[in-house]
Amino acid sequence: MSGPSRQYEKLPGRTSHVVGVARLWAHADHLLATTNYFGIENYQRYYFRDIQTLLIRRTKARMWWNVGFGSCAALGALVGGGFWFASTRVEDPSGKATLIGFAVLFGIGAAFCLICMLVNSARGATCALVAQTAAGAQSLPGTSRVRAARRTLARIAPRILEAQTSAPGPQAPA
Amino acid sequence: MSAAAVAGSPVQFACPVCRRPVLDLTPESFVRCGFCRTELCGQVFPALASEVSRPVQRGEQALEGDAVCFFHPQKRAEETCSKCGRFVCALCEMPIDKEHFCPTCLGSSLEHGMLEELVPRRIVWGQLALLSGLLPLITFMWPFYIVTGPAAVGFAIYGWRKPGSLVRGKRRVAASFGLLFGLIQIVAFVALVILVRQSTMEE
Repeated sequence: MSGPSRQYEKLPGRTSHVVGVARLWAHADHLLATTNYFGIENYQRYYFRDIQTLLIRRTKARMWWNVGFGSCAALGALVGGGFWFASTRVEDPSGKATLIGFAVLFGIGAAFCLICMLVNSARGATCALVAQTAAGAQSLPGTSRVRAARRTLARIAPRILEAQTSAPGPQAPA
Repeated sequence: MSAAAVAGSPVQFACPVCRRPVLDLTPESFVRCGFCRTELCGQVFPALASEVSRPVQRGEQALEGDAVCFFHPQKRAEETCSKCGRFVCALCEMPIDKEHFCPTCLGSSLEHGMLEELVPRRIVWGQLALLSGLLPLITFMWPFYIVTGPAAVGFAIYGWRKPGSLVRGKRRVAASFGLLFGLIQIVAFVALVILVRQSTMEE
């Protein structure tokens, strides 16, 4: 059998790192947070019966990413514009071509940063999804945007309620 | 206790940043914590309110004629271990999914990675093979082919029968591609070595 032996349902959102991806999955009685770093998958389980609150905490990550991308785009445009301006004042054709080449290179870099900024803005506000249990509050990996966090909350809240209202009470974690 | 649940009053929860109590949490709109100004929304569940009143499981004293716990002969047995069949009291019983385990079986299962509910980490050999096979090829790091090529083949073969990811399975398609790319790397490296040797001999 090549498929997983247990059925997990993929929840909205994912967080990508340089060498890995973090996701949230739902099972019949627990949430599974997976972080995959270059083929090594780590698991954290949060049983529905133990979750006391699920919080979406707004973060300023989107703003800081936009500041970073915007600064790089502005810097690239400025340097590229400088090269372009310098090329208009150079008479030597080979020197002029070199300066225009640099201007185009910096222009492409600036455009890339601008696109990244726009995509980051379009993806919506950033947040951390925090699960609070008797053992403390922990940020769940894999959900970093408010839109995805709301969808995740809407999908798992009924299951948590069901698990906690049907069970006699929270049990000791296994 | 991290969250304050006060009997007879609206259920409070602690702000995850400043740890001070916040009220009026709704899943629809954000509210600001009055102390640290963090914006929060979400949902409170019955487990928060029941935390204070939850009794600590100690196991009941056994009476004459009661089945007793294997580990605590003075306690009444509440469950039988799903694996070894020992009687266990409420203190020793470890519920996992729909099964109940005694501490010994739970410990041995954890040690041997037999219970998927307790697996903390898995190596996804198929993905490892694919990454080792594909990344050096697309970045054209040909001097590393002699290491990464055999590694990709080895990962794919070694991991073929190993348990895979809990959520995505064994990823045998990825392993097959890893095997293929690994072989391509080996062939490419051998071809490059032959070409270099021929050119040096001609000189």
